[in-house]
Amino acid sequence: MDKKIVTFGEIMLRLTPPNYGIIEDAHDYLATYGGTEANVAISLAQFGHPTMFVSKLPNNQLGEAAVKYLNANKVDTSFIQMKGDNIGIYFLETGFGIRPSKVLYNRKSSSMTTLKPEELDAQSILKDVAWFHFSGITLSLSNDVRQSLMHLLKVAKSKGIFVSFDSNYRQSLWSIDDARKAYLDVAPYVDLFFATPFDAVNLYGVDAKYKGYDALKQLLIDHHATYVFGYERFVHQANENELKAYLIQKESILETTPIRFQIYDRIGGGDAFAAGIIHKLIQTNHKALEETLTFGLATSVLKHTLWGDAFKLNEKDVNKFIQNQSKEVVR
Amino acid sequence: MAKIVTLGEIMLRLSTPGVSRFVQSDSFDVVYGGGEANVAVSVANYGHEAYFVTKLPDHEIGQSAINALRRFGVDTSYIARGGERVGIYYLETGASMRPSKVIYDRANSSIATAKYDEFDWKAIFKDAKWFHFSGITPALSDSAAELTKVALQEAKKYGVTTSVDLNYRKKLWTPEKAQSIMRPLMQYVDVCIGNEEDAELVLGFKPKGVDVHSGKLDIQGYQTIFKEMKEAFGFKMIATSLRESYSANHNGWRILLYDGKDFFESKRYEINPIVDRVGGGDSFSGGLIHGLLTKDNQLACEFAAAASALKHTIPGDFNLVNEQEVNTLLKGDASGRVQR
Repeated sequence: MDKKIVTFGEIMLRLTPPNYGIIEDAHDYLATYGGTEANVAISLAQFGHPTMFVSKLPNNQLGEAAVKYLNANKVDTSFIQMKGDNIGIYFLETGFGIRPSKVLYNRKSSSMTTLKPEELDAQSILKDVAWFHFSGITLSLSNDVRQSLMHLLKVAKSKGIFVSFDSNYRQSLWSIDDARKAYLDVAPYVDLFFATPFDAVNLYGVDAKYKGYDALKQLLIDHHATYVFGYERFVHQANENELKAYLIQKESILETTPIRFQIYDRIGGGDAFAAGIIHKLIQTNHKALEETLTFGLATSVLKHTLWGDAFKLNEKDVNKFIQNQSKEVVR
Repeated sequence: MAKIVTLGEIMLRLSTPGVSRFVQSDSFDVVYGGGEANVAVSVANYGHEAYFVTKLPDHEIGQSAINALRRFGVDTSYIARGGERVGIYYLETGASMRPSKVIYDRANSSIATAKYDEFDWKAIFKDAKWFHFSGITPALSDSAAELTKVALQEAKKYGVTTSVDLNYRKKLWTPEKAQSIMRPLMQYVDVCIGNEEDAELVLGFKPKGVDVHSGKLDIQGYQTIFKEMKEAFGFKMIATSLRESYSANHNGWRILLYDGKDFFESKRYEINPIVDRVGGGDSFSGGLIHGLLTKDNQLACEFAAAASALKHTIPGDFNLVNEQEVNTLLKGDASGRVQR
């Protein structure tokens, strides 16, 4: 595991009222930092990979605090630009039982949204890199960020770097129609999609006549990719969900049995899934896909039991959980 | 008691607990505050009908700011709802020789994007006795500057006494911009609150009779400055606080008031240790407004000084003291003994 993984996106200050409290009533907020690609970077660093997170943060004590948080979690921050005015924020009201969680964003004019391609030394950033990961949230941030991302993607392709993309469409950040164009622009560079059948049809232009896994298979064919990973979530209550993971390739479909579990903090569940999948693919050199899928799902389920955005347990913890579950991959 | 209206921005303040630095904090204390909102809370505590006028988003954080005002008796019925965000400021409280630090994140807040026709000025100023604003509000945006101007014109139309706290904020505008906006507003202002530094930055005011850059100004110097300011801008009254900063925790504090005829100087308070100095100036404005509405000018000056000295001992932006507590201090009991 000596080749580097690079993730690219925004890390925000996360403010959560303690004790399942509501935002309107909060007298204090628990403060941590998070953002989908930063979470993935942190988890991959825990799994032992040299991992770098590329972003832009304000050159003030809050930007510095976010960097220190990443450093504490073994993430390389050498290419984070320290410029601009504000750190993005998200307020998270944690649901309980039948009351759902709420997220309120305050990120529109953050430093990251002003990141321009010329601020990124793509050749140095992607030197000796094996894997590049980003998400649909990064795509939504601004035109500048989209251009910066395209710049990185082109260099990544020229270097033969494996690219994964977590679709992560957020309705509160942009409309489906605005999003579609951006998703179609990046799709040709992607080797691995984290996506749902909804994403395939609505964001990637797959013909609506394809349903379910067929739509995901068509996504691979349309955009010449290798894998589509994803999971289906069944919500029993805000703090009791069930997840079932799948892997779609052109010639095959893998699916796990569902795992039902109690939730302590569900933010970052998808990021943990992505990290688990990326880790196992690299570790097994893409040769143990069933094990990879099981590991990804287990990582995600375990994340739901941890406070904060990022999954920070190690591989042994995940394996122990898998043994205890003893669920098999079914075809 | 009187109907008092203030106009401005209330922000979400995120403070590190105790005197922790930003980089080591795993939580933030939630407080709401802002110059004119703090003044509204002050005068509500003295028994006035206080109205705070602003615009806040129609979401949980906006509601939370409104709840904070209502909790301390401020009437929020003229607050417009809408826009995208609540302005935020982060505060790291200093200690001893380490100064406090503030990081602002307030661009494009709801009040910065509000238009003057979103407010019912007739209802707002009907039966009102006093209108207060600060130099921060017109600094927020061009539309906020227009909003401030309209509010002042409307206030004057209804015969309301007006006051300004000059409050120069270098992170919001330049002296040139400030002067181009603020100088034309001064024709509507009766009571001006600010020191010679603010008057120079915000109003481009340079006194002839005294050199403000020569070091420490004496009372004589302030008297000259105040007289010249009155002549230049037509203020009825001018007041300033005199802060002597020995450390982040230890300040000397006095008030000077000029009523166009006589000068008044309050007694000097030794504030040590300071618990939270944010909102100190606003508590002075609040105390002064209450004093001028209900007392003679000497007593008004003393009341404003004692009220704002007390604010420095209270965490958060708001001055949560009542008239009786201020009177106890100004009558000379600064012992801090338990009162039973």
